[in-house]
Amino acid sequence: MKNRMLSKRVYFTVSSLMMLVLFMFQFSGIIRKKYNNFDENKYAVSEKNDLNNNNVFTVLTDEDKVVKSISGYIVYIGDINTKTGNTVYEWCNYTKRNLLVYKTVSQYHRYNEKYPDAVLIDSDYVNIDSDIDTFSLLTDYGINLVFCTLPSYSAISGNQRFEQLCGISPHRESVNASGLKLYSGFLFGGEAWYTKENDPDGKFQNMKLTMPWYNTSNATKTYMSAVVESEDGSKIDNEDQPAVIWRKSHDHAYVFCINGDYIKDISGIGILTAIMSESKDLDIYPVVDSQSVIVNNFPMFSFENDDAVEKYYLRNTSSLLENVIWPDISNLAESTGARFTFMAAPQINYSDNNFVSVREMDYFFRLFSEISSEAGLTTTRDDATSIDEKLTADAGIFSNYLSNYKFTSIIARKDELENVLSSKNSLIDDVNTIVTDSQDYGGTKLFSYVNDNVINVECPVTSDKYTYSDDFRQRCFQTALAYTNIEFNMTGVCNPDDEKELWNEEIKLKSTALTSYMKNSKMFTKCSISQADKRIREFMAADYSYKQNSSYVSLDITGAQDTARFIVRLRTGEVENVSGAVCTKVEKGVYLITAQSKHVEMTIKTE
Amino acid sequence: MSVTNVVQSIWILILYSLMTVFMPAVVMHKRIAKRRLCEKFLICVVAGNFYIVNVVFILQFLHVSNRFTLFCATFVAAFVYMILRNRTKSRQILIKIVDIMSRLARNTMGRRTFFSKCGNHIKSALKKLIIKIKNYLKCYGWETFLTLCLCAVVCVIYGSNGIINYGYTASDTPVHNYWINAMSDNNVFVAGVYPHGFHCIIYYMHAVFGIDTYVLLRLFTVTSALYIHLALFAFCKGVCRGAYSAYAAVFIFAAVNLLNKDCIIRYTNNLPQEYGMIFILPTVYFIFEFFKHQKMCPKKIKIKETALIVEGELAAEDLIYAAVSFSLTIAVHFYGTMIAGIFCIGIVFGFLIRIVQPRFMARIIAAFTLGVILGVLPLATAVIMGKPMQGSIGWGLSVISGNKTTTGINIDTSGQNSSGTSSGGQSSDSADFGQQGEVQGDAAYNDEDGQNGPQSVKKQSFADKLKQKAGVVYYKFADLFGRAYRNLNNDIEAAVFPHGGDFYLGFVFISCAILIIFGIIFGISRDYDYGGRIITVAFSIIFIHMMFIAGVFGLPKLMDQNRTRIYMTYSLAVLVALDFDIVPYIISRFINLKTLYNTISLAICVVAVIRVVDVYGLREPIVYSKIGMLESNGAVECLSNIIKENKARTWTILSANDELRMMDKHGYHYETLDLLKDMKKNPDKRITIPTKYLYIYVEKTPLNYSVAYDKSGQKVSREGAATPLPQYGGIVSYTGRYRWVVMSKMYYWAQELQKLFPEDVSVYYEDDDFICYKLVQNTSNLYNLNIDYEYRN
Repeated sequence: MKNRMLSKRVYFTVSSLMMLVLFMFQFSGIIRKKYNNFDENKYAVSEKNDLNNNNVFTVLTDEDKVVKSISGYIVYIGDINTKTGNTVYEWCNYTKRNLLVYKTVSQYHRYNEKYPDAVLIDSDYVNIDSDIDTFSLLTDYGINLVFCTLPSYSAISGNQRFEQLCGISPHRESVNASGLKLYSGFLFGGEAWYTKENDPDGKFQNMKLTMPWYNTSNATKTYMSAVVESEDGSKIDNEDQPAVIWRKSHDHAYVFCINGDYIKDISGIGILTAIMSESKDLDIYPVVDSQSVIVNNFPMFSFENDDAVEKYYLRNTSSLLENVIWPDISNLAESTGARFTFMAAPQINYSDNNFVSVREMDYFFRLFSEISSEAGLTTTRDDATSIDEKLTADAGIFSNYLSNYKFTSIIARKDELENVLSSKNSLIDDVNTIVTDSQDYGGTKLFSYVNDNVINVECPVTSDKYTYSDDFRQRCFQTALAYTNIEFNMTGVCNPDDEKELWNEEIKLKSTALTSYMKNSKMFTKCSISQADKRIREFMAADYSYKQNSSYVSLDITGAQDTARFIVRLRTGEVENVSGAVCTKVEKGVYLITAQSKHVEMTIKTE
Repeated sequence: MSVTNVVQSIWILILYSLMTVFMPAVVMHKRIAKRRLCEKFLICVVAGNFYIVNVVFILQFLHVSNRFTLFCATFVAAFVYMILRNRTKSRQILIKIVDIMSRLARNTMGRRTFFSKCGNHIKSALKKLIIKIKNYLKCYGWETFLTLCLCAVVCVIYGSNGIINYGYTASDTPVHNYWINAMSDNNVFVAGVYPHGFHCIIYYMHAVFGIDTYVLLRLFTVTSALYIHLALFAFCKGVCRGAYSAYAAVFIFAAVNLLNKDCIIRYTNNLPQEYGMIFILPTVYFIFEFFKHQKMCPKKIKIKETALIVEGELAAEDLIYAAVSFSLTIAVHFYGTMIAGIFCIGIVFGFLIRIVQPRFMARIIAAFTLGVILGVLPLATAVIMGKPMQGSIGWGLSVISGNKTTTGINIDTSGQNSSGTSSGGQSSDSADFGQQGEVQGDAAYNDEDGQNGPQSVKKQSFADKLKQKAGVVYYKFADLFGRAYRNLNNDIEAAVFPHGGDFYLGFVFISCAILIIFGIIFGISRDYDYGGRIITVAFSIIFIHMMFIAGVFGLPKLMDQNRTRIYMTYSLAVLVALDFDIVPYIISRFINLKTLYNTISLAICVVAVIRVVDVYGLREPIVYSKIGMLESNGAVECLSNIIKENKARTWTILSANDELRMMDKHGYHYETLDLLKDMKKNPDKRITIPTKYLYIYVEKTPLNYSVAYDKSGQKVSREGAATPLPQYGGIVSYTGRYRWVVMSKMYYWAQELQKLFPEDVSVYYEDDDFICYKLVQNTSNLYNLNIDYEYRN
């Protein structure tokens, strides 16, 4: 072979190739940087709408109006001002039903021209000995009864007719269960066993496990039962375990019973929705279809606790945020498919000399944009600073470096709501959504207008650690509204006091919780808070009616919104041939309908 | 489902033929090369069945019977045998393959060359095959066509029911199903020792080819019926000289509406008795062939002529085949053995001159002993291993010993076919219709005897005494045969030939007489073979008819009339074939011109067939009425779909009874009556069935289950549901009116269940007569099936 010199042509070709490779590697980065409009909130621009408090569906409670209205209605025997009453009211509001409330059964007048969808009963307001005749009469008329709470064990065990009405036989006044079993087909997400077998250390169990023991008799269907271990170690069949939620079938109607305080919590709306679906062949109800995650107090743009960070993490705050926490969070966002909303805290302590790092701010806002996230505001601050002062300081920073970014949401404590609304700060002008936590789960509403234009959205679930009660509540919200809003709290991550609080421990708990809560909602839409805001407004404005004629179903949507979303739940069969909407199968017998017109038609294919 | 049934039936026929005809034909092709086609067929059927039955027995006894071992013992063994038998050729082929592979590996042969070589080989093989087929069709084209037509006729007549009605047709099929199912666990003779030859065949096809046993037991009918007729056909073909006698005889037997339907209806059942019929005539045929070949082989071969040696080998082989075939009659069903035994007695008459010679007798006795040993050996082994005898064996023995009343036949006074709406093979109560005549006859005899009594006081001379004795004997015989004739006439008319007992008996006895006379004439003219054969057939048929009315002669009733008539009519076809064959045979004796005597045979057969068809008409395909079936079509269709759709052991069928054995290991079964009784007895008891899916079978038009009642075919009703549950055990509660009560209760129970749990109970299948509900439940949270459905108590 001849020894040849490197020719010009070869030299040129090799150089071109190297240049091409270099360009290809650099190109994506350059383009990403060039077209990364990180200083604009794309959701704030595109998702803003005109829906406000004036368009909201209102629950009618006046008897005449209720009877004349085309919407269905619920009769509630109890007090609307109790926690149970609140849940019932909110559920009626969400399902666009009217509500008639009576304090006693005797006050209830049955309108023959229009029967209620169900009679919900708070047992504190009934006397089963005297009211049993009415209950029997109602079931004979085909009206379903729902006992949101049950009368006391002693009252039930003395009344055989009531036992027959509910399909139970009292077994023991009180029993300490070791867990609960939620059976499939009731709440979305399938079966869930909140039992000792799945949680030997008891890390997740925080549900109420003490209850009276009722055994269900024939013609009953149990949706949830407790798990009791027998004293002599013998096995107790599932069917003989204490029933928690069940149904007794009568000739013309069903009687649903809830053995516990589940309706007192707002998550009870999920149970009531599931009950209504179980009582008919076809159920259509509106939903929000929004899954959002609020990352509170992340990132921080001022490094106020650098010494402690250095001590525990052996790196500075900037490195911790960029190289440790962010990769975990972005991976979590990717694995769950969630669209996180980051409530950034420019500063916590406004009186020290640690100022905002503009580089850090720039860096993270670019990352937010890259993963299609959104940024919001937070009221987290030191005690010496008022909300106004904080907002003023933040406005100064953002106006200088992110002047085009519209912050449409802010996270605040419930008690700060008034202060935020009364603030005259320019940052607040664009805020449509105030996110608050629901604290001790005693929240009364999942979302509501706090003035004409601003809505308050609660975070009913936090991802601090996975618990059975949060899992159950999460399923309830998914069932009732296809909705969730999880708080991912990062407060304190950059202020470690203890090795137990370090990020590597925190992320395990948080990721376990978040992935567990999100896994049952794969078919629902992942939203940032602005997108969720739009969907919530549309949901609150929507009203609807539907008719079923054999296998043909027509759905008419009223209200000011452009789009509405519904869950279609079938006992048997499948939805096919949907016109005017996009249909997605959620699980067996459950379909999500996103209406694209005011009139939707579909046919049901029976098996 | 009907299309599926047709396809599955064809598939089963192909697989069965592959195993019992084609495989033996390939393995034994050299040994049987010199035989006639009909002989080849009989040899293959006998050898194939014998091999499979005994392989299954051996593997079952060793507890290693499964798909792999069965496959190895049949396909692999056949392959290895073929290689060993053709060692030189196999070695050459192997060397050639290794050479090609090494050349391919060394790249000295290109891929293109390799493929072109392969192509050439395939091409030449195909050419050879086509030439063979052409030659075959040239020789047997017309006959193949006629045979296929005959097969088509048989398939249409006996296979139509399987297309229209899907269920079992005999009430004892589920029992056989159970026994076969147990063989999957290597538990042969699960219910005691019983001839399991048929079970071995079905089990083999299930295990090796993966066809469900219940499908085989439903659809093997066509195969079984076809092979029964093909065995008959091959026998007639082998015995007759004329080419068309066999076709005409089998056609008349199968397709002409001559006989009472009950005589042939059992061919639509998949039961051992009918399957065992395949092996009766081959036994007889191979003994005939033995006599034919043995006569040419001297006691000691002094002259070493090849032909004689070959004939001697053939004679030995004939005896072996006869022994094997006889063993199969024992292995499959003893009734077949009895009929084969009767034919053997006929052979004694037919070949009397030869059989008394030691060289014939010794060999035949040896062959008979071998056959018995081969047949009984598996059963004896099982007994030695501690298995008890199955109940029906004891029943059979008691019938023979006369301690048990045998089943009679429904007397159809109208002379029409009586089984139009009843299930074939199902026993029904009736009196023994020979009894009345017998009693009258006895009375007459006693009267006569009584009249003779006082006269005997008078002193008589020896000549008078002799005369008197002779008179008495004559009278007794005349009376006996008179009674026999009367009984036979009545019974034949009622149960066998509805067009007239006299005509039938006249035909049979005249035919037999002619055959015997001609047989003797042929014997005198030293044509022992043909003469012996026709005499054998004639005597055998007379004996079978005697067996039909055995009671009249004071003989033990070895077999009830209901079953005897099946064998009787089957062997009658042979008589008809020989009747048609006499003239062509006589002509062939004088002018041995094949075309001539075959033309005469064709003429006789065509005229006879046209005349018989003209007088009696063609038989319609045998189709049971829906009510007469033991299982509704919907139930079978549901079962097939359930097995197909669900994972094994995830479902339960709640039904009357038949599905219990049909589903085998696929799912679970819960009996309707157990549920209803349990609900009634324990209203507060929680009744659960722990599978995810529960299929509830309800017959909206309850079947009779072979017990007809005044309102047969009525729908389920509230009246039925309100009637108290039958308190009988076993199958009785599922028969006749009781089934209507059970189904009515089930119907309203299922309706209530659907009302209570509409989201989980749906209608899985529904037609006019049957409905299947499907309950889907959470296995962690089972439904309490004990519901108050208004008629619980």
